[in-house]
Amino acid sequence: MSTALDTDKQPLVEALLVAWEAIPDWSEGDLAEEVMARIERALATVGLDTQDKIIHALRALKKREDEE
Amino acid sequence: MGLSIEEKVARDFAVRAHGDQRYGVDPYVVHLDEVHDIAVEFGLPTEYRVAAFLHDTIEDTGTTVALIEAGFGIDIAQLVVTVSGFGPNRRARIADAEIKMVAHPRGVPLKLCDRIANGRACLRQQSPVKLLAMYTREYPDFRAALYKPSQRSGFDCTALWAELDRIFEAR
Repeated sequence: MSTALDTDKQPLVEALLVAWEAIPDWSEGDLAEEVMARIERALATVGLDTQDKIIHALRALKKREDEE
Repeated sequence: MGLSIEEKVARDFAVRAHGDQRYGVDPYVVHLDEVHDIAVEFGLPTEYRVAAFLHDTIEDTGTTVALIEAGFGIDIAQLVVTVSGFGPNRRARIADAEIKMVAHPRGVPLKLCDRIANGRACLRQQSPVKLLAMYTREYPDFRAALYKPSQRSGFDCTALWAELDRIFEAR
């Protein structure tokens, strides 16, 4: 498992996260724990943890707001 | 098609990972759907139906084994790795995948579905002559390399081989 940030692979990780998060009601019930575990493992493959992911999302949101 | 959650995620991920890649004249997902549908048609278990969507992601999109394992589990990651071939040319890639399938025969049924999809696509499309000729030329070696491993795959591949024989041996 990579510990250094692997930016080349981040789009593929994003693709996986989007795919899992597109499942209706994925964050509810028994599925939530399993999906969160998969998401965290996927982030870890490129050296990101969940906190990093949130920071990235906020930066992207800020950038989009600035552009608008 | 009624897909399980895991199949839906695998398909969605594969579509995103393959991006604008084409399978002949079609978007790549046409091939992925066909391999999946063949896995369903021949009664392959669930993990093969998921792996059908993912089978080219490592070879063709740079997706890592670790990411497939993280998203879909080690069994499916192993299936995808086993059917992925690496090397400087087609011959080397085929040899690489065949070595892995001899060592891990569980991947063979997935490869057979892929090759049936290749063959059926050639027969369906309007200008398949070169590709069909290539697959037909390769078929005796393909069969010789994978028939015995298929018997150790844990799945009865008789019907898959019969379909491959129908497609390629009648040429």
